[in-house]
Amino acid sequence: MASSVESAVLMMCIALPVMFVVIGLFIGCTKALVKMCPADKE
Amino acid sequence: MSTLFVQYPWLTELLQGFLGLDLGTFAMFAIGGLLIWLAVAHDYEPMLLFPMGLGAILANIPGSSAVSTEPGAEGFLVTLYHAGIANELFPVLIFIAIGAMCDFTPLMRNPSVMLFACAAQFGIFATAIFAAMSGFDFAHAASIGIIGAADGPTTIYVASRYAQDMLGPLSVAAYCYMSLVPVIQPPVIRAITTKSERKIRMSFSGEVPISKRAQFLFPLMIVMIAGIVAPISVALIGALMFGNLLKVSGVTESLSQAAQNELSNLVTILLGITVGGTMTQETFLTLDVLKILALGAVAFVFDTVGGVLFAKVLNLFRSEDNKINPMIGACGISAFPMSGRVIAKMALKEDNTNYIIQHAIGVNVAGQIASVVAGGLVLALIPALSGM
Repeated sequence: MASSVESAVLMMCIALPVMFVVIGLFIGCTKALVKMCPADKE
Repeated sequence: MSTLFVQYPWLTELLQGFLGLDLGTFAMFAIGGLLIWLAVAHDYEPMLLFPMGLGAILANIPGSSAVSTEPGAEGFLVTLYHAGIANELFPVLIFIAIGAMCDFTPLMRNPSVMLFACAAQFGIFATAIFAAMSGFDFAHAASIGIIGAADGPTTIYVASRYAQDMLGPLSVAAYCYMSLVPVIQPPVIRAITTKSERKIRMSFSGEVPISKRAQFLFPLMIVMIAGIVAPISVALIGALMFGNLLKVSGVTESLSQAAQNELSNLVTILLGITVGGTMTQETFLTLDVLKILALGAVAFVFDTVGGVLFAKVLNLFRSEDNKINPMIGACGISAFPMSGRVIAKMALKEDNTNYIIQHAIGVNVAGQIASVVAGGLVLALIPALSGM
């Protein structure tokens, strides 16, 4: 059980920061995308 | 009686339905009936809970041909299980349908709201820890945690890969709690926010137009980034964005309509009844199922807490006139659009001129993407950390 708990804690310690990095990347790319493809040019 | 069966062996065959009845069978009939009742009488996720309830009843009739595993005479629920759940096909098809229904423009107008969706996935990981502490092995604990994604297909997808024996209870918990968002979230939010925080007004950015080209490139961009970070998530996020591309491309309108209607309805029918068919008394009437149902509630509570507290932390660094209403952090779950509507209603209840629906829906849409990303990371980490 100890090992399961350790694995679960480790999963949180890895996954949450990775998620924030990925989402940060999404945010940056989305802002760039919206800027590069403005609606008024269509 | 036994002499009678020895004398007339065909009686056993004829009466197998009656002979197989026991308390467990009736308990499962009651559980199936309860799911149907919740769907019909209370409108709790009826599209899923109704077929699941019926599937549970069909699977628990003694000697049921629906779940027969006799070679050459497999029951239709067994055939459907192998055709669509064991190989993860049905959840992926559902994702195509969801993608075709999604409108990502509120998210593209204000992409920063994705941070709240990220924080609201906290419930997944907190619940996995609690599940491991309750005695589940890591793969099962992580699969239980994924209930916190508040996303039925993701839950089924992860469970069908790492916790097949818990597929029924995990799906029931995910869909039941998704329908209970209006009951779970408000008291949790009230407990961790002050009245003045709940009254915070947020500026209305207006309908900033998003170009068709940006709408088309957005799903492609998300698939590529998420796919490179967690290749195992490509099936889920790829299907979601494929559905969305059908919608935004502007040239596949009929396919988009088919995904939103025919595909969605057909796969929902098959998915629901097949998952219900896995709810046999041997797998469902256990202490573990009670634990899963309790942990499912924990997942939704921690999702809400994670999102709201993250917004409160951000407020510490923002000027007085630019504060965020912390309630919108709770919308970062995938229960769309229910969570966004619940939070918008709560804001109106506190102050009937405070409209935060635009922000709440934006966060809620972001929750769709964040939950799939979280699911992908969990899928990647289960095998990596299982051997510890």
